[in-house]
Amino acid sequence: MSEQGVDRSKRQFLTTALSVVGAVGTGYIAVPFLSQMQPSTKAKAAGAPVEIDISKLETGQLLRVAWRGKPVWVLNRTPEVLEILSSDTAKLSDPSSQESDQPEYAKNEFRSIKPEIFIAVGLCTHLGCSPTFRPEIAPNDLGDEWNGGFFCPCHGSGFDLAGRVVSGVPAPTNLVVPPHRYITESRIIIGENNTEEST
Amino acid sequence: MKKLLQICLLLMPLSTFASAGVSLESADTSLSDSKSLTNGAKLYVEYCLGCHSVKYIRYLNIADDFNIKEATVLKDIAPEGAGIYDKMLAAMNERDAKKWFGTTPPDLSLIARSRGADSLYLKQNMAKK
Amino acid sequence: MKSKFTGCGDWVVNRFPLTKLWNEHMAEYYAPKNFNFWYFFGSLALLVLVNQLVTGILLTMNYKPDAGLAFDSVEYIMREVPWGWLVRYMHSTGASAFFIVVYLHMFRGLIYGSYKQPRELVWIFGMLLFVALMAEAFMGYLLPWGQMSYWGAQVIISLFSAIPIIGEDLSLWVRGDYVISDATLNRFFAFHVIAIPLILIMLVFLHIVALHEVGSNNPDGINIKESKDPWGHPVDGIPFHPYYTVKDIVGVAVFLFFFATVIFYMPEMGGYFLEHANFIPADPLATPEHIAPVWYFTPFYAILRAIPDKFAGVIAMGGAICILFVLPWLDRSPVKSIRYRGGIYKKAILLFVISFVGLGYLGMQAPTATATIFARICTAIYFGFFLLMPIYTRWEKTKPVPKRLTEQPSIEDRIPGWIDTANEMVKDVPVEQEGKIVTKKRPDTAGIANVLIRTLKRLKASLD
Repeated sequence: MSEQGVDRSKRQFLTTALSVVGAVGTGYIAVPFLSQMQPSTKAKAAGAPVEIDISKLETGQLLRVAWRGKPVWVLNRTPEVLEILSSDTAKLSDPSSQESDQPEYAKNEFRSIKPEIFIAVGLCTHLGCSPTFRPEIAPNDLGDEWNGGFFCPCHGSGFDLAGRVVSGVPAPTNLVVPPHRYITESRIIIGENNTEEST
Repeated sequence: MKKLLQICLLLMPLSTFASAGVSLESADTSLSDSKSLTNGAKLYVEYCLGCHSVKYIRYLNIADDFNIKEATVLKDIAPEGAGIYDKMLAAMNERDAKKWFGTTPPDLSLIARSRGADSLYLKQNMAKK
Repeated sequence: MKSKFTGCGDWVVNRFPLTKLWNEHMAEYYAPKNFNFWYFFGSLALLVLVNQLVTGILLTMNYKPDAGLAFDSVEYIMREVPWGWLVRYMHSTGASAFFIVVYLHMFRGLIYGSYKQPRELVWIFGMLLFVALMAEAFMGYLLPWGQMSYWGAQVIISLFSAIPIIGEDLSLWVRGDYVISDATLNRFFAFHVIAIPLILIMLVFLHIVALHEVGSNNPDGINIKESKDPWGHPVDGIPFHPYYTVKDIVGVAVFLFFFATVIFYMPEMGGYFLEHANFIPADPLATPEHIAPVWYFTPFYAILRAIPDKFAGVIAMGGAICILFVLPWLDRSPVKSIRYRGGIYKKAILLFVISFVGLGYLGMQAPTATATIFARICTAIYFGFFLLMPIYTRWEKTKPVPKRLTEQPSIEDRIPGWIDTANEMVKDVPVEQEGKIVTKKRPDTAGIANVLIRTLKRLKASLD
């Protein structure tokens, strides 16, 4: 095969041009094919914010709702509980929630917008089991040190009634607080922040 | 020789014009006329959704595809208490339908694709008369 | 920098015959230099296969092979999965595109004698691919679980029951139930998604390896390996890469243009690619008025219906496909390409094409008395083409075959001729316009008549 009369620069231009067009074309194909795996409308519908009414929630009562397939706890805390939460912070891993996952408005002592109403995702931050609700003080099986909280039976992690994890247990961080906001005093939307519009 | 073959092959699709039956008026639907679309959706929900579900469509799709605000859809088009992600299901349940009508009124999500928009238009006009 | 890159390359090449494979099958695979339009369809078939595999996998992520969920899952893909509608249309259009490409690819083999010695095995692997493709398409069509899916499958599988003695049990075994049901759907899903695609991929590999072993045929049908240059390369050959890789890219671009037009603007193709009845969920209690198979099966369906007896019809339909397998042995002509064949063969090919297209059309229509008569005539022509071939190919007068590839005029060469013909059909005529006399071009009836007569003469000559 003769190499005479080969226009190298033309050849280079054509090769480059084709490569560029090919790359653009590959991009055009890749975007839909990869986006295809993103959550569908059905998944988004299932993950939509949930509205709850707490007008009938008595003090000391725990309400469980499902949001994005996960259990979310809504707990009406008594004033005594709030007192314990303020004072008893010595044994906590992350008392000021620096390492834990919660919205800005829940990065406070009580980890909530209103001190009485505590909202958290009911899954242990270790490996995802759902802890049990143990509000009683010093029960037999949990020992005298227990001041009320959530106990995870899978590997023994303990959280107080503001979802703050105690030190020396497998769970690394406090219970996750989901985004939420109050529509009225007794109606809450879980899954939406204050700034978001109801789109 | 090859030319003849190629001409024959190219003429084949003309057979699609061999259709018998009534010649249909064009339904002349406009996918950009937001007002007309909203009106149509409202009428459907009011008069048809009682029996005929459109189960593959969510109210969110009406908002997105017709270019209407979600709040408007929930206020003007969707029935009371519907959520934006809700599917457009019929008010009547299948068992009752079977008992009362002998058959379940069909879901109409794909009726335009299976019967053609023009024949639906004809049906609608005939019903009006 | 260069050494690092080539260093990696060397590591691979020392452990895997990459360079050897590249040279043998691409850079030093010498293909005839006169590949024309008909030679695009092999690489296009490979492109469509890749399309079907990729879009198929994406569909499998969301499709549910359960009789109660299948139809809904397809609508879910169309409406709720991001870009799901695109993946679905690419797959459905791809299925029809596959058959268009494959039929044209087979036609090329027919007219240039690519099935003849020493390429009989390439043809056989190709025919096995065709049968596997038909099975794949048939099973895939059941999956949307629409009315046409259900009843089309019901009709075709009940054909098995026509086989004497074992028929009923065979149908039962294929279906897994007394009628098409969830069991059938699930097994067709398994076959469609994994079993047959594996077979297709293996057969494509075998098909190409068998071809490369003997080298490609060409439009003149001569053996380019008979004339070699001092380096041992065929004088009439050019390396596949870069010449045909580039040419095939052009073919791909043009194909994708049409493919995209259909996908984005007319995916239903008037009800031929996505049938209207299939937008109604399958109802075992209500048969649609008009059951027809998808367009690419209609020629064989027409043959099936043309024969009055059910079992004989099945045999005829199967026979229509099986006879293609033995084509290399039916053709007794020493000449490969249609360019050098006698007039009888050329007329036979023309009749064959007309009968095949005719059968395709008739397969879509309702089986009226007139349609059945035409279907029978076309069936006779179809089988006659093959069964009489040993006779008319042995005894016909062929043209002398050249030793070297001939040069055909290119499109650019033909354009002046077209311009002259156009001018012949038009004459200048003085016309009054705004008070002045102007010359305008008007159709020249005498010129048109001349052109017509000449065209007809040429057509007749081409059939000699």
